[in-house]
Amino acid sequence: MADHKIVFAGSPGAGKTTAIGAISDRPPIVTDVRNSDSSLKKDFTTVGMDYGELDLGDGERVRLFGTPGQARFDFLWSILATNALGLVILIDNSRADPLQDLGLYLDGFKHLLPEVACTVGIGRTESHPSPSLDEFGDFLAERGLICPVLPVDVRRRDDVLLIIDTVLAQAEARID
Amino acid sequence: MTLPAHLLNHARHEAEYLLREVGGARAVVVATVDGFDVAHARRHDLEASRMAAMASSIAALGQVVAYEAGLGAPRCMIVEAAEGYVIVRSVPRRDHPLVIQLLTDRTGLLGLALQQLSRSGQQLEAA
Amino acid sequence: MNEVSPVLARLNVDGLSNVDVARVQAFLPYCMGRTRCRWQLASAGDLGHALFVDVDEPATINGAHRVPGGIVRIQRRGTLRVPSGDPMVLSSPLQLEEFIQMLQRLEARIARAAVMTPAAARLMPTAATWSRPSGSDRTPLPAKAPAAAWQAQAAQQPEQGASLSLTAAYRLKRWPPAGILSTHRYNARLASFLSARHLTPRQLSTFSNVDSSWCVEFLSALQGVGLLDKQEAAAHVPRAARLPAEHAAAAPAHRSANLLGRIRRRLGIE
Repeated sequence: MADHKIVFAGSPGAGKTTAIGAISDRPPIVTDVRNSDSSLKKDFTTVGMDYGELDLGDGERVRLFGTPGQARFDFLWSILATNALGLVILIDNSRADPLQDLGLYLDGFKHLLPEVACTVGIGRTESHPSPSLDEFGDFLAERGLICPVLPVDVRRRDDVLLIIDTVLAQAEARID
Repeated sequence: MTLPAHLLNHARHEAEYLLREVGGARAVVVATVDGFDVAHARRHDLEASRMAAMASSIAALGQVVAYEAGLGAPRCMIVEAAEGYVIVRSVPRRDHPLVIQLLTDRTGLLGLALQQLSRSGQQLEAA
Repeated sequence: MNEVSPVLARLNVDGLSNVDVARVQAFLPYCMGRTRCRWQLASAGDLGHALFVDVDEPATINGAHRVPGGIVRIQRRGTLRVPSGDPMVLSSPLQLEEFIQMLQRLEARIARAAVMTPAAARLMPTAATWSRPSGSDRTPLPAKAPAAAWQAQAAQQPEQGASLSLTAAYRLKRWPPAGILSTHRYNARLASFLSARHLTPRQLSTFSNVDSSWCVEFLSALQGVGLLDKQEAAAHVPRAARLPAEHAAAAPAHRSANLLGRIRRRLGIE
């Protein structure tokens, strides 16, 4: 069976598990446990990984992995993202410093970014418009990175599909 | 994150007990299930906060595998390495579920280490 | 000395489809700096300074004689309900550059109709007063320039002489500002391809499955604001030769266009 993978990383609470659930053929396997961090406005948090699948037929599938968002689990990020077809970084724009959050993940994956297609999805932009999408674009440009930056509501499947579309576009363009 | 003082004391006590009593023990970390260091004891310079996060990940993955396999709630995960063992035990308290991670070299007996770790887990569960 | 504000001119789009109305609304901010008037949508029942209607509307429209800019007819792209070369026809889906040029023609008609006040008429272009900034006036923006600078440049006239080469390959210098992407639903996909490598307009159309005319238009818009890096055709280097040795060796051989196509079909993204 030929396996490929797309990895969802990003802020705690940004919707990685929900995004995977929006496109997975099966309900995602989650490693959510009770959250003890009061600064995180959620009852449960991912500490291992989320897992979903897309069956392409003929024994071929795409595995969908979600990483824990907190920095203390960064040892899992590169393990899960190695040899990935693409990477989606989801940022929660309602958090205190979304640009700093993005910087954390760009640093965490910096050895992979030259070769792995990557799209940044910004959530909760309607209720929290700042930083703007253009400020995220500026932030990436300052680091010499050209990644798609799109608004996303992971509860809407079409938004998740647009994110995946841009990841696939980059991956396809890198084929020679 | 705030654990009751008595639970913190018990966690420290068990960490020190395991490091002292388990043959070949190198380090013990007691952690919350979401990866925060509660108490630790160590012979070498290991980053306890990082060990705590890793312990919680191992425990969570073990739980998923055990349930997917229909084997029920996991108790213990063992990683056998070239020069020792990483053993992670779940402490399924209702209020503050925990995990204990024990790192040993190969000078001690794995079976004894499991037994002592099981005892410490029961102590923490009952505390 | 008091500055005279741009004249407000109103467009009646009651006769347009919802899709085209949405396009007009998205286009209007980009007309600033390209037109002498500040164009806005007319209220319901107000014929405004120019009337946009579907090509199938009756030739005689009640009150149309009072519309100084006249009537612009919209026909589906690829059809010829109105003979080609008619300057008062636009094709739908509306395209930004064609729309702006139409507004400029309308302004000339309005000026000739002399319905503006003398003060307003002085703001209207004449052959003697209309001037375009030369390409040499524009300082190229560095890739790290903030999006607002790119956005401001997009509102100005494009560089003269910077026509798109169909044989050269282009790649984004940075991710475009959101305003530039918002003019067409496929722009994010096109920009994604352009973010990863240099592509000719034909390659971009083939990769993206987007009509080549829109690819050219999008590339032209990006080039007009200096967001594209250009490679002449002979300079294109295969990917394997571009990569450092360790990355080239690690490039997964199984990742094919067929695989990506299967994923798109599986997800319903075409």
